[in-house]
Amino acid sequence: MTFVVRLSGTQTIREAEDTLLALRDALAAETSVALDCEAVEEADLSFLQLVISARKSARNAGKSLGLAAPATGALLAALDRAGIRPEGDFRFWFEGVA
Amino acid sequence: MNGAPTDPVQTFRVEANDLFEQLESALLDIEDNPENRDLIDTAFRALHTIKGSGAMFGFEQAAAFTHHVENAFDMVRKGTLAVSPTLVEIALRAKDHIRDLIDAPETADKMTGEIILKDLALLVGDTPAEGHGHPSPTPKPEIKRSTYRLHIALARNAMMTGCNPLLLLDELCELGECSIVPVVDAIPTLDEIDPLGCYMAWDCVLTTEKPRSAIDDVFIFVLDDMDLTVEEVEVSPKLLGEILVERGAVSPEILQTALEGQEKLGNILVKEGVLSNDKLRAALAEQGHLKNEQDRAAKEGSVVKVAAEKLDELMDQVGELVIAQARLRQLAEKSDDISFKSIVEEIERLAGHLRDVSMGIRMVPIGTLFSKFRRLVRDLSNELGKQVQLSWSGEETEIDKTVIERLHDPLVHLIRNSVDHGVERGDEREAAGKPREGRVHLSAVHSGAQVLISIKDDGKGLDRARIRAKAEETGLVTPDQELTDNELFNLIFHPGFSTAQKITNVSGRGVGMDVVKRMIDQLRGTIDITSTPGEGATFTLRLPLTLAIIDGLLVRVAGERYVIPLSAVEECIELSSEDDARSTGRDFLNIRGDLVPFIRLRKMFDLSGPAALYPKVVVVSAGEFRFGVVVDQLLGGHQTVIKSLSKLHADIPTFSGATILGDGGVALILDVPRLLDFSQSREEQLKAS
Repeated sequence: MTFVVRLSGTQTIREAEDTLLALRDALAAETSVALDCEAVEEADLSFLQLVISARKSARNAGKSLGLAAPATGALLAALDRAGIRPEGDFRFWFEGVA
Repeated sequence: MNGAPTDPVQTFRVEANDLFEQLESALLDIEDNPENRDLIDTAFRALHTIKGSGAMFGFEQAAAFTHHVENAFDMVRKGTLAVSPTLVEIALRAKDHIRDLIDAPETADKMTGEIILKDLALLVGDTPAEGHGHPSPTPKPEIKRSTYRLHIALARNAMMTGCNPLLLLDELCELGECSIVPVVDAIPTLDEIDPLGCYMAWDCVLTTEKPRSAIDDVFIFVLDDMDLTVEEVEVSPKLLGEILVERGAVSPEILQTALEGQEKLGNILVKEGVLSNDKLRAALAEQGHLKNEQDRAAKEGSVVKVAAEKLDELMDQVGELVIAQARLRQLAEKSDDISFKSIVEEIERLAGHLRDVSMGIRMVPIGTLFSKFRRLVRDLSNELGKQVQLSWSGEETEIDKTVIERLHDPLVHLIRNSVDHGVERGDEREAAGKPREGRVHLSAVHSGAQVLISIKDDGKGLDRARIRAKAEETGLVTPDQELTDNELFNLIFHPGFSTAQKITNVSGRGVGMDVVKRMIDQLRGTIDITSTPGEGATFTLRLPLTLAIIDGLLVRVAGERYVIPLSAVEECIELSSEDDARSTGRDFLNIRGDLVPFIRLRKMFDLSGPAALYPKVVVVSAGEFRFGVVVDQLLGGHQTVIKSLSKLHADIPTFSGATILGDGGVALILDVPRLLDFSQSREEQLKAS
């Protein structure tokens, strides 16, 4: 069973601490985690870094973490601004795990 | 030989024209797409260049005026002024005025400029200084594009101090073409990460016309704590390995070893663990960026602007060459000298190729013409209170530039006609169950040696009853006369025929559909109309690709030679003696069950001389209509360089020009549609008498 972490609203440095905790808890308890980012209305670099960090942590622990659905809207815009394109190990942003 | 216009002012005007087109098209796009920064930048750049080079070439007034408009767009770029329909409207008017100021500074209306500036000032929220102030038209420095390789690593605490790295990247991208590749090696796992820290770094390749200092300006507030390296790179084709070594990502030795493998270099290096994915991505991005930059430079370098007259002159000369070559071939046919013959063949091949190439140079994509109509449709629909969307397809279709130039006016009129008479008002359209917004679609497509251009609207279609009523009223048709749709629709091309019940500003400009028809006739084109009530009308123009050279069928009638344009010829048949004898009164032929009328050129041109034993009929078509032309002998195909007739002969209706034959003789070129009209009117005269 894939555990879904729902992330919504603003995801900037103001929310980063909470998001970090949510990701850490999910990965500690589950072996397969999907992030549902569809309701994310704003995202900044801190959020992108947290997701990449979570993915690294998952890989190190032999677990899996991805997006529930391909990035859209505000998240997609943030990825574009940061230069993240669907290539190599960045592909997961643009593919859903569902 | 006439030189090109080297007057710098004239050159500037040509350049400015391009800029005006860019500006107008950007403004119209902005109207639909107010958020698009690229468009705003394009408009701003166009204005900036017009101002700068305008001042350089002594158009002080234009520069001063443009300065205000440019300012407004600078405010839009900086976010202090919002894009609004009013701004676009003013900018379009301003563009027209700047054009006047550059084309004819003496006669440009000062009042217009002042009104525009007043409107602009109202919008921008300040008043222009008295007497327009003095702009500071900075002389345009020579633009130099440089490509830089950047590595950007912000301080770990950058975000905590209020910096938004993504905004900095946005600003960097605004400097020019920028490829950004994130470097994520430094992002730790969740156990170690500081959620507020800045870990991601970026490798960028930036090509910009801005000076090097502009890059520092982007990072001005964080420069002290960050790691920013900027180095200029040469735009030259580079192999990935060269870039990797240059960037210090791998040593030349490792590269050499890797190159000996068969797999893709990047993959090998990553697999061997000497290169991280991030670094490979960055290097690949740089390679892509440099390649694009090179392609762009190559494209720019390969375009040369040539004065139109030079092209005309080239075409003239090629025409002469084709004629001389035909004479040479005739000479060769009489000769037994093999080597002479082979040279003639070689020259024939070269001349043919040269002709095709020269004709190709004159070909211009019709899109340049289509895009000019956007403004027309926009202004018209505003004026008429209708919503009309102009779309087009086939804009890459190429036509001779002379044809394009001469198509402008008739197309303007046909589009006006569609918007004014075709497309209904929004409420009428809704009542008819159609979307409020009407559509006018332009399309162009090649069809053999012709191009078809159609203007299609989704309006109410042509009103058959009203055309009929009007035609009866003016005596063009009798009440009991039966007409096909095509005949009926063609009545609107009759001089003095207008069914518009009230003369609007749009349709009442003195150019009637008859003028459109005449202009298309002059281009040796035809107009077809189809219309479905309630669904719209389509006007289709059939035009020759070029006016200079046509493929013709050379025929002989009583010792005289004539050329029939091959595009009009459908088939050639023999006129049997029975048909010939039977049809002395009524000239009709039975071709596979169809009755086809024919005319006898011998009779028509009053030619004497012994009649041919086996006369031929060339069946030609003019629009929907087919008819036969009786000639004595078919001489074969002929590459026809069209020479226009002298003024003295220009009003002879049945010929569109003349050509010089291989033996130096002259053949007249038959104008098929006019020939048809002429013979019909003669028949009517005969019937009447």
